[in-house]
Amino acid sequence: MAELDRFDSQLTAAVQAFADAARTEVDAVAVATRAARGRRTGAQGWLGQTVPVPVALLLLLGLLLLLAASLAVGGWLPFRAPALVAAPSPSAPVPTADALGRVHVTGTESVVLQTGSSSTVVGDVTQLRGGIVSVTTTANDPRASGTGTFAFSVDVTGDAGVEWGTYHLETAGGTWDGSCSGSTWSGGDAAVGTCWLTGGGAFAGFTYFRGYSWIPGRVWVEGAIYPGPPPEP
Amino acid sequence: MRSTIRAIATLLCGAFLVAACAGAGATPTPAAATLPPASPTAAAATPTIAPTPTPPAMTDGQGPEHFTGLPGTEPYLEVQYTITPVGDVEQYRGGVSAWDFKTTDPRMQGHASFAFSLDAHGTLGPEWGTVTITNTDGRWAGTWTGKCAGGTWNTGDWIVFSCWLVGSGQYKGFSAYYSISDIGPGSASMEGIIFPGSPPKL
Repeated sequence: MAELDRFDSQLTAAVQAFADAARTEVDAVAVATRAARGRRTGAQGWLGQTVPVPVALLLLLGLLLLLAASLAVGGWLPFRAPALVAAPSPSAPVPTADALGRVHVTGTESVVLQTGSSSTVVGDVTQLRGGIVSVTTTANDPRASGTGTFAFSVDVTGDAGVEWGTYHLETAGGTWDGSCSGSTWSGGDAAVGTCWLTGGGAFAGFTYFRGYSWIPGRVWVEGAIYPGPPPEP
Repeated sequence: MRSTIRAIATLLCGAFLVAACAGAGATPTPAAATLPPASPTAAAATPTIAPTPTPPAMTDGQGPEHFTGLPGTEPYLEVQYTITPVGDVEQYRGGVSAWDFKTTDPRMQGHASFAFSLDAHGTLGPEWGTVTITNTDGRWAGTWTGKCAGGTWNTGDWIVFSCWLVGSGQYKGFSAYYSISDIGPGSASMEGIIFPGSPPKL
């Protein structure tokens, strides 16, 4: 369990660092203006990101809850870098859907643990099961903006975690459902993955490929919506 | 979709390998020192040292590890593809692109080839196929059908792609998650993990 103890320490340090680094001198207008300009590229420390104060507080609370849950289940939890980012290159035009509904999706999101996972140690692997995170996505296309629910599993070995699960995205105009998989490391503080989602409701017949990065300083959601099915083996 | 063609050859690894993980700070730059002028003035006595990016730490190449990409070579097309228009879609089939790369884990490096398919829906689309990575100690193969896939857009300029790989040779018993993203200037990145066991059953 030495690794899990280390995760606990890392998680604690991350929460404390987040609390120390949280900025409260946010100009809401400036934030909105930056967000409207699109995504930013380039690495920046996510702990130093300017986020709206209520969001920061909520995120901090979420992280503390995760810490508590982490201690309860033995350490590792896939808590995610909160809402970050997104201020893209000022010159980059915001992608819009074409006449056939095809669009490059680009946006930001925040993640909050909704249901903690159980933890079972099997040999060298710690199996996390039953966890659910709530993902709020703000994207250039309204079909990709909404609240996602990621029901995840993670197998942790050393500092490498394999994660997978089902994803449901609820938007104002329809829904998306499918599976996601990816990897996580740094005690769950960093993750990358992809999802293949099929549309429901008004989105029936469309596919949404969703790639996400929750690496500190590089947090984004990117993808594509197009008519047709996901690729088949 | 002419750019998609370029994308095939470059997207997967192009920006990615060249920029090679600029986002990951993977390009170590020698410290640039401003030498003092010849005349020994007091003001010039202290050289100015520019900040040097910290190179990523290398793993010990054992057991489960996270890796991040290091600069590699330009990709190239090993096998030409065909293009077949089907309705609003252009189907790219039969192509193979290749590149050489390194990461912070010595096990995840070598020659990579990607036997790809791509459905171009205008300026974007899904792509999928089989990734094989070989080096002197072993091989990583995305033979888990259907699990090497991603999306590309902006006529192939940008990409997010991931693959579950299974090791053989000295990597037998290990699997890897290998992801590539290039979503804008200076954003190219390769990330992944190596872990014991099999990829998840999705």
